[in-house]
Amino acid sequence: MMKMKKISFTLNGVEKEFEIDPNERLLALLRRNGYKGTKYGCLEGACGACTVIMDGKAVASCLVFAFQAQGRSIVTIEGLGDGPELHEIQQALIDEGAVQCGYCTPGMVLSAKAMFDENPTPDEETIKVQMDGNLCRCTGYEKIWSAMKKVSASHRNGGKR
Amino acid sequence: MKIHDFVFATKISEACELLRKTGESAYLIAGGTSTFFVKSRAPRNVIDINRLPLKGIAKKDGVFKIGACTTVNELMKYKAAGWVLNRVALRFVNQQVRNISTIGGNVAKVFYWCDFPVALRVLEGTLTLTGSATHRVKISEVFHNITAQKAAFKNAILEYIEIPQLTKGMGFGYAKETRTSEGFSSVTAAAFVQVEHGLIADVRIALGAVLPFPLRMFDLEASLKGKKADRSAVEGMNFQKLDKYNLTPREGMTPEYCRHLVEVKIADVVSAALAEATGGSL
Ligand SMILES: Cc1cc2nc3c(=O)[nH]c(=O)nc-3n(C[C@H](O)[C@H](O)[C@H](O)COP(=O)(O)OP(=O)(O)OC[C@H]3O[C@@H](n4cnc5c(N)ncnc54)[C@H](O)[C@@H]3O)c2cc1C
Repeated sequence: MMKMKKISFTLNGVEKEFEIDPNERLLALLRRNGYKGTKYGCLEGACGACTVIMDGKAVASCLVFAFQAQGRSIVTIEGLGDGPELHEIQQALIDEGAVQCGYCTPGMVLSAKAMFDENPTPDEETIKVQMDGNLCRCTGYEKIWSAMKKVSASHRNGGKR
Repeated sequence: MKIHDFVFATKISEACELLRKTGESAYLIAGGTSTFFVKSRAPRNVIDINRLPLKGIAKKDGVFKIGACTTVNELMKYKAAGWVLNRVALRFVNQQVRNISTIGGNVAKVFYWCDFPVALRVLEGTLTLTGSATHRVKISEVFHNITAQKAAFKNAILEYIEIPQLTKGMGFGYAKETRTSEGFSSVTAAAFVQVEHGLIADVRIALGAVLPFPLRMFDLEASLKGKKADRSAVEGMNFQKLDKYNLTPREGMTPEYCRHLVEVKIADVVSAALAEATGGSL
């Protein structure tokens, strides 16, 4: 019999308790609790579709066991934006036409958020390194990088963070 | 890997005690990324050591002290004169994995593709391990071979790694060949050189990925020592010294291509280290 255990962590700013199987990955836990913006992708840490922010860092939730989230702060795509108003990263991706099928977009947005939270004005090289774990099979990346450069430039010019 | 149960250790002494008490079924987890590659289905009792105070990098008296639970991302972002592990960290898969993986996990369980053991073999320094007692051991002794490495880590927790700061006249070179940017290494090479009065006073070369465990290329090193620290040293390298190694071609390479790539990568890392040590480009 699998031993079920209770854990708790802050999810999108709200303290939550979950019952988990010790083998369960954070990705599976989030999805079975309705946070479906966190996508199933490669399930081996290579594609970035399942990216969430854990204590300020972008991580692959398919690699993290649910128990490793105990006491941490987790942000999923559902935690971004305010009502109908999109987050500036989401808006920049739309403005640049950087969203096609959209499957990689939640992970892409969260990697970008973690990057901008740490460094509001990253240069192109930093953007490419920080986002190297998010694969996109539609856009060819140029438009995504261009959206990120736009957000960075807007911060440099005193735009909203 | 199948997990039966997990606990969080909050003190090193507590983690050591749990490790001893749990016995064979114990499995330490820092970032936990290695669990993907553990094939055994025997249920394991996980001891999560990620909350131990083993994070961060400090510089003192020309030595970098790196906590075992420091992530690869922190190694990449750390900036200081004479710090070179950022170059290794930058080539480590991707940001999401760099944010979870720790240096301790990378050196405690050495997969053939592991990046840091290759670099640490040429940088030298020490590991501080705690089991029934705390020992400070030389990297060269622990990484002498797989048996020595496994013995050093048996029932022990790595607390930190200390490596020297590179100073004037020293250089480091690192190369990792992958088929795709996300791929595992098919050849990893690292070199350290120290140049004095225009001559190669000290040189260390290590090779990984094409071998089951990273090895120092002592014969090649010996053939470089005392040579003029310029391009001629690299051009005159005697690669026949590699004949005795049974190189494993990865990613569908032919043995001929694998051997060729190894020679190219070794020449590259020695060139880069010499260029850094002499303050120029070769
Ligand atoms: C998608 C993916 C890509 C990867 N790419 C690379 C790559 O490019 N290069 C590379 O080198 N590796 C790579 N790896 C392998 C792995 O991520 C690294 O080896 C990583 O550094 C392991 O760190 P960890 O903290 O996750 O280790 P864990 O999984 O937590 O631990 C690994 C082993 O070390 C032991 N251990 C951990 N910390 C300590 C300690 N302080 N004291 C004693 N024992 C300890 C554990 O018991 C376990 O046996 C990859 C893994 C994945 C899943």
